[in-house]
Amino acid sequence: MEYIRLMSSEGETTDLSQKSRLRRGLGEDSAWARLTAKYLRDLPRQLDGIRDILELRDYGKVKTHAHRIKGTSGTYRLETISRGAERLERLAESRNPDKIAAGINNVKQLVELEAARFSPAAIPQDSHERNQDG
Amino acid sequence: MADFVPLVLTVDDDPHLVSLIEHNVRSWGYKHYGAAGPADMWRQLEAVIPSVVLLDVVLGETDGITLIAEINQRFTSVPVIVITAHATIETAVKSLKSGAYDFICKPLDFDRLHIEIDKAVKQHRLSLQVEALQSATRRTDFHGMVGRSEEMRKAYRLIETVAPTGASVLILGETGTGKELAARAIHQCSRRSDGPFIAVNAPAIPHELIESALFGHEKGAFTGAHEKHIGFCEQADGGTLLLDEICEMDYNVQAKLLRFLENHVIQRVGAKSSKSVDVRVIAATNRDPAEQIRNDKLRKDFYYRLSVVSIELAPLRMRRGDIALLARYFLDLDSAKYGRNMNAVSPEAMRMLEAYDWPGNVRQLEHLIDQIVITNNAAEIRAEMLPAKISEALSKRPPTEKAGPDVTAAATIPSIEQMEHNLILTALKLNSNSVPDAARQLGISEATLYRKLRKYGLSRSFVDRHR
Repeated sequence: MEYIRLMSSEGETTDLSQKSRLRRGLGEDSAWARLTAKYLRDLPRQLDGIRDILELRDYGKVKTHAHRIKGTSGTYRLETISRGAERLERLAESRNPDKIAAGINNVKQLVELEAARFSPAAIPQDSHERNQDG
Repeated sequence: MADFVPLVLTVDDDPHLVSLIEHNVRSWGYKHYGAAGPADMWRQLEAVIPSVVLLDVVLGETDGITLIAEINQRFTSVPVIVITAHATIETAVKSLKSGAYDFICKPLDFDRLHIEIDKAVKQHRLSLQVEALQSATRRTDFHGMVGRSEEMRKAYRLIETVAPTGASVLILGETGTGKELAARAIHQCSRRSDGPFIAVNAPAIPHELIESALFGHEKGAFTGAHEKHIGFCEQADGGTLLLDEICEMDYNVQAKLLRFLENHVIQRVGAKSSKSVDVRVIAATNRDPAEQIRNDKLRKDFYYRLSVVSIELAPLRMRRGDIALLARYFLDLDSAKYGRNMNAVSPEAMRMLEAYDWPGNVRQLEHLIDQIVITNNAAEIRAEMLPAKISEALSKRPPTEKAGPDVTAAATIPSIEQMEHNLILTALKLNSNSVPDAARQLGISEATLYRKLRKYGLSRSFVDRHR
């Protein structure tokens, strides 16, 4: 069984079963998987937005945006990203720009890792969806 | 025939979360709309009322908790489920205190969300049913009797007058005019309202059993009397006994009832002793008592004893102005009863209903609406849903009769002004004295109708009441 090892900025690691993730995210519900892929494609833009807000030192807004990513990514079952966003939310309270920037980078890396798992080639299509798309 | 599909409205500023909720909600068989914020939410709510609102309490600068109370105030029956990543006890308490139906934390567990939405949809449906029933009750004019025509008002006044007296009452009226409802109204307005109300439909009881049914019998009084039976007269002790269709009762039974009316004493069949009971008797018939007396179907002495007061209920064709009110009343009740969203009657269908003669009276109208609501899933009753005999009624009527019964009388009135005066009165009567509705039916503006009401000296009675 192949495992993905993710390291957070605070050094903790998370092991996830790729098989179970794929079964949950891709195999059982391809529409869900496509929505997830779309969300993952949009997340870097959201994180860049947080970086822009950080430039303005608006820590409250940084926290709000991180909070939103935490909730939505968690609902998409992207637990590693959700936990990364939760850490970023906490870092926003520290009002330390460097630490917050590192937190943003960390979430971005987690997003890239997840995005690779949800590439279009990895997402099966239902027959009726193929027809609709075609 | 498609069933009513509940709608879920999700209010969240993250479109990706809204998309995922939509995907799941649709897979559970519901419709789904999304709103990105409060402004978008109010716009959606203007267009369509959902069965459930899923509301994020952190919506940019807006505190979603304040929105809960606003939604509850404007859409009392719509449950609001709060979805939030702020999983604190304080937020939960504040949300629930503000009127939230439930509180669900992000990340969302869709299995739980499904259960909560199902529950909320059921509650919304129940709330709508209660609202519909309350609305129908508000429109009920008099103890379940619906109608605002002069004929019905006269009946209400008489019922109110006679109810407290305890006198026997004879209710006359064609089948389906609501004789039992009138009897119940008398009971409810009387000092006996806490006592029983027993309705006896004479033709439904086998001839050989009627005496035993009315007065009761002792065990072993006759073959088949395995148990002691308390008769209807005794069951009604302290309350009211309605004897429906009295002309169908055996002549001998009428004599026994007459005796009972005079001394209020019953003796069960096979009993050695008699018993005194305190019962008010109301009788009803759909036949002409005079004719029944002439044909020896109704005892004259029994009739005189019963008809201390007579109340005659007008057939529906004589009070066409009540048809719209009754149709909407039954429509509200049936929509609630069968979980339908049908809440209107198209103008064309209403004209047809008002033109039909309704030989079965209110009961026939009630059954028709019942049948239409069961067999159609539309927003309104349309002309094509009506049986041919009803839709044809409009075309068969002479043009002057289409608006209602009283217009025919206007045919003998010489001047155009008098015709107009009568037409206005008829339109008002047909529309339960609603000036806007009457104006619509007459094809003139409301302002014109008010001007004409003033012209004919009708302004005091209508303008003051309806403006």
